[in-house]
Amino acid sequence: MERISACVQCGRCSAGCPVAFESGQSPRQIIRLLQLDQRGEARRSPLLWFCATCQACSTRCPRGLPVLEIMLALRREGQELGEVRAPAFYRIFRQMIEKSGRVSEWRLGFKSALCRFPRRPLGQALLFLQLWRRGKIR
Amino acid sequence: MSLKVTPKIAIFFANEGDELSQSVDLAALVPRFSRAKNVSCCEVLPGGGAGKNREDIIAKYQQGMFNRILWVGRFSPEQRRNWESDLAAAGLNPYLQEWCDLREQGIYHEKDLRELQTQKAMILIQMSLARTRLLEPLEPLCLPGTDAVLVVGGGTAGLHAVAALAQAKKKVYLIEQQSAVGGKVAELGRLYPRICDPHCGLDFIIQKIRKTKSVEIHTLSRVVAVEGGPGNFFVRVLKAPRYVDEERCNACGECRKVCPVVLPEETSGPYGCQHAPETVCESTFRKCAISPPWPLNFPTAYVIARPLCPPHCRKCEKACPSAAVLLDQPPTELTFRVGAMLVTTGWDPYALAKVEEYGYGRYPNVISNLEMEQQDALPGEIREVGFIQCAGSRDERHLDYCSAVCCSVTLKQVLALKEKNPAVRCYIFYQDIRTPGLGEELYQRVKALEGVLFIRANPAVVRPRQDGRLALRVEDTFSGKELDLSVDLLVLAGGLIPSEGTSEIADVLKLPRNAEGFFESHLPCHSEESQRTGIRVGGTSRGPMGIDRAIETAQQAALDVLPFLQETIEVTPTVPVLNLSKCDKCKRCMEECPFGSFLFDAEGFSQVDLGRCRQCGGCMGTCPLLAVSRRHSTIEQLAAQVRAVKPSFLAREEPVLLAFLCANDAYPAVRRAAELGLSIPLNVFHITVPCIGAVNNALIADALAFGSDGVLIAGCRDGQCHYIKGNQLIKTRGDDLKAKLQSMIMDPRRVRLTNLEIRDSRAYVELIHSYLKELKEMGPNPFRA
Repeated sequence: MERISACVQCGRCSAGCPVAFESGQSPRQIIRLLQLDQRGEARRSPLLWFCATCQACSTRCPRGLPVLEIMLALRREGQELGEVRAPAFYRIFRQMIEKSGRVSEWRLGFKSALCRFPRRPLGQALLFLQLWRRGKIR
Repeated sequence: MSLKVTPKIAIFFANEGDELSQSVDLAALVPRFSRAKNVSCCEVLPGGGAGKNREDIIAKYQQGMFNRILWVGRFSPEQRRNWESDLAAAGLNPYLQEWCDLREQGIYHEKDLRELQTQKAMILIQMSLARTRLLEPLEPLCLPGTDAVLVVGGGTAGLHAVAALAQAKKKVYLIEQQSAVGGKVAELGRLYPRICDPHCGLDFIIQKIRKTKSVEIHTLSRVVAVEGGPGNFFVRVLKAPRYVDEERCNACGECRKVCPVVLPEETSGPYGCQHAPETVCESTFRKCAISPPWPLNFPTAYVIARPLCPPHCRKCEKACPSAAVLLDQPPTELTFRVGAMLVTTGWDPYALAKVEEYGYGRYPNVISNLEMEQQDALPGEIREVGFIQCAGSRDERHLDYCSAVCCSVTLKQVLALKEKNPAVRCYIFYQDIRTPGLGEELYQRVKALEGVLFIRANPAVVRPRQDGRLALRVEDTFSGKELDLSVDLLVLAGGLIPSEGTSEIADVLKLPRNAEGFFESHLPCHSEESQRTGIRVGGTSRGPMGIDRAIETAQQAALDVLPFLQETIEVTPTVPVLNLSKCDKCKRCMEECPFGSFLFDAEGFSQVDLGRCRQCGGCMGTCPLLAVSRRHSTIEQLAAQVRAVKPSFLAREEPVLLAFLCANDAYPAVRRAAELGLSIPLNVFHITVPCIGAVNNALIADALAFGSDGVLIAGCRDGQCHYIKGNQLIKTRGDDLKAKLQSMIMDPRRVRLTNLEIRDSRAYVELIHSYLKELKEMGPNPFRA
């Protein structure tokens, strides 16, 4: 983590990030929080759980920071300290793997949709249908 | 050297204001040393070096009472110089005088320690006496030289250096690889900070050069080999044929009318010379095979690109009214004898295609800042222009350094652009805007413009849109907002890298370069200095810089070579001398010399090029057979000093420490400690050496074998050694030394290296005290009597 200070806040990671727009926070801001020694806030950032681990940030970093590894480390740290609970999707995914060693996609989708049940049930069902029609869920 | 004269030494104690007699017992010292071997007279000078004393001493010298002097006491550098010059006028060689300052060895006005101090002074004087006996008279060496100088690279920096040297009435050869001088600056549209035309300044300097007769310009040439040393470089230059007689051609242009070769007017893309500023631009400019020179018309003669000529075409030859076309001109090889060389080989733009995410080379409306320079006016449909700063610079994956000029260049381009097309909206994507010093004004000017937006962020990627514009996605780091922008034209502020010519000349001259490929030098002190004596570097081959600094450094370099441009070059006589009967051709001196001064002689021994040598003594320090000696601090003289240390004046449990001091930083630090009155313990003996690299392991072993309990080697800090790597040399020899110490059954901790800066006096004294404490714990040296 000593290399965090190398970040020059150029914003290339955020500009390249495909999910930052969803979460209202950007990888650059996470790194800045770490530079400011506000790790707690960084750990609680919702962006961590949106991260698709696509590595766009790490490849574009002009200082060669392992941005993705930092994100994953923060995820782990938050959970270990009991500060954050992983979103339902991650929890169910893990349970399934631990139980049977494989993931059934439609059950995963269904279960995680159930977890957020009170919110937008129709929207979830429609998304499910669309994904299924395109063959994204088997 | 003439006959060996038996040394007759005079010892003079400078006892100005009873300074010396307060700290030591002169009444005991004087009679003791009057009887010493080779000492013919031993006196106390009550009034220091003033008035009557001076005449007295000179008279005694002229009577032949002595032929060398050992001065004891405190003399300022000015006093030393005055004595030396006065006695030199009377005929005494300045290298036959030795100075022994008791105060910097820790002898102060301590009443209680007077007895002990007198004993230490006795040893110190004996050390100096031992050295004085071995002194040799030396005269400055005169090497043959020449007043010609060769400048490699005819860009702005090179031209200014040429003008400066020509003004100093030196013969100058300018070697340029293009068909004309001018370099990169001639390709620029405007110069900051005045937003003026660079050709104006270039023309001014060319006019100056044209007036002088002593400048010879060789275009289309490159240096292929260099032999010899400073004062006597033999430079082989390969000159490609121009196919046009430079003297006859008057640039009338008749040949161009008949030339059948037609090069395409415009290359791909709407912005002219696309993506290869050097070659394609030149060819667009040429239009046909015979063309005016590039990039400026100096020299004026046309030049023919022979590979473009159709076979058997000789139309230009027939058309030329002054018969200047020489289609069968062969390449020529020239040899110049010059006293010094100046390298101003400049820079190249970084290959922006390597910065893949910005699409340079893939999208026609992504251009480099150098191409932007060549745009006169932008097409009317351009509404929005983006400028991406640090494209490739300050980036681990590309250039690690800041290219120094790109910020100002972009600001300048925005100013010029807004002047012509005020309606254009500009986005500047930056990490930091770096316009140091007076450059701030430029920044404020651009900042105040309407329709210019500074965005503190770099886009991650550039994508083309359906309508031909470019889409940029960027996070504005101030607000944390994502911005989706689109621009018509994107200008990448590419960085500067050392030019190809720079790498080429570096290989030919064996000039060391740093990790970035620029020439290495001792930046804070002698930035224009290269590691090869007689060769200086200037301009952007030293590092990224603006035109102003490029000119300054080139002129500085020109000033710096002047001493080499004389009929005879005077060299200080303190050069290393090789004793070939001892040498076993191991070549270690050659290997370790920081300045590459050693050559092979006819029999395979190493031979030092006196012109190149900077006299650090590194070779003396490294020679395992003690075959190399730097004059005036020869290995014998140093060994005599080391052996004269008698630790027995102190009690056995008190350790004695011998400290070798580098003359550049450590010695002044110690001298300053004495001036500040810091307590330098009596246990320490200082010996000054030209550079710490000159301390041979044999000397260290000697010191331990003759009873010193510890040896301290005080050199400069890393990167601050005046001789580049003296402190590193001694460090690398450390392993060798460890083995040696172990074979002597000696604790390796008895030898310590330290790095001092010139004002680290307090740190030094603290170190001495702590080291002495450590040595005390280690117990006395087994060799100590």
